[in-house]
Amino acid sequence: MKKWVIAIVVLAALAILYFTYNPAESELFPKCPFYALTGLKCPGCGSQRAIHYLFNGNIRGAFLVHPLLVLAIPYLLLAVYFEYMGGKSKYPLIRKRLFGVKACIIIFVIVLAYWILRNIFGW
Amino acid sequence: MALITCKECGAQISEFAEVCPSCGAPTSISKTPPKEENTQQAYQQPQQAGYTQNPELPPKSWLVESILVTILCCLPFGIVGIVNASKVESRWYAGDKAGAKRASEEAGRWTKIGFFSGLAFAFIYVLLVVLGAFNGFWDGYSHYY
Repeated sequence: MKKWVIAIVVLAALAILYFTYNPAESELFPKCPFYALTGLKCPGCGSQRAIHYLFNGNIRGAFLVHPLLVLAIPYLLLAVYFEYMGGKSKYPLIRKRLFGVKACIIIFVIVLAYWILRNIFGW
Repeated sequence: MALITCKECGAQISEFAEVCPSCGAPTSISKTPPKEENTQQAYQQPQQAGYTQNPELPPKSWLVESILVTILCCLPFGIVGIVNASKVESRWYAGDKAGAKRASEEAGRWTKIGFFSGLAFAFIYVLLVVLGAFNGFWDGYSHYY
């Protein structure tokens, strides 16, 4: 139980931090080492700004800096329901369809394609 | 996989057998867990709520956590997590339950490594900023993360 309290306090502090400050305008937020070294974006680039925009209700802004993160949210929420809120025992076949081997392979391909495409099109 | 000697009839049997195939006597496997589980416990792993005891369902694949690690910060670790998540599913439905459990542990390990290395990087970064190590370093630079 104590672990949960610490986790919630840390998450709440981070949420307030990312809600209040825009990572694009503050020096304090860590920058991507991959981008600093290569000048190319990684599949995680833009996540801090996207979280800032999402907390402020700016879905469009979040989409512009990290489209995959915004698109992944419904799927991730569904996955959390299936993994942690009893969905997997209730609907095991749907779980297998949505989060099985094929789903993992598709996610893998999407991440790699996103990595390449965002550097070509500047997403 | 090693062979052990059955205490009842002396036959050579698999160390994973729960009963001796030649005489039917139970082996010690139910009392002492197999070697593999001991080594996994040595890598201090808290009991995961996600490790299901339900025989119908595969062990926790860590797919959500792996995706989050990948698209939030630490690509290489997250990718290893996603690959292991697919191994959990494919091995489980191919009937290789022990293999699925191993892949599950591997997936969890890499996801945690990704998470904590990201955390450590952020912590060190903020420390360096506070100490003024980057003064002027990022000037005129549009940066991403």
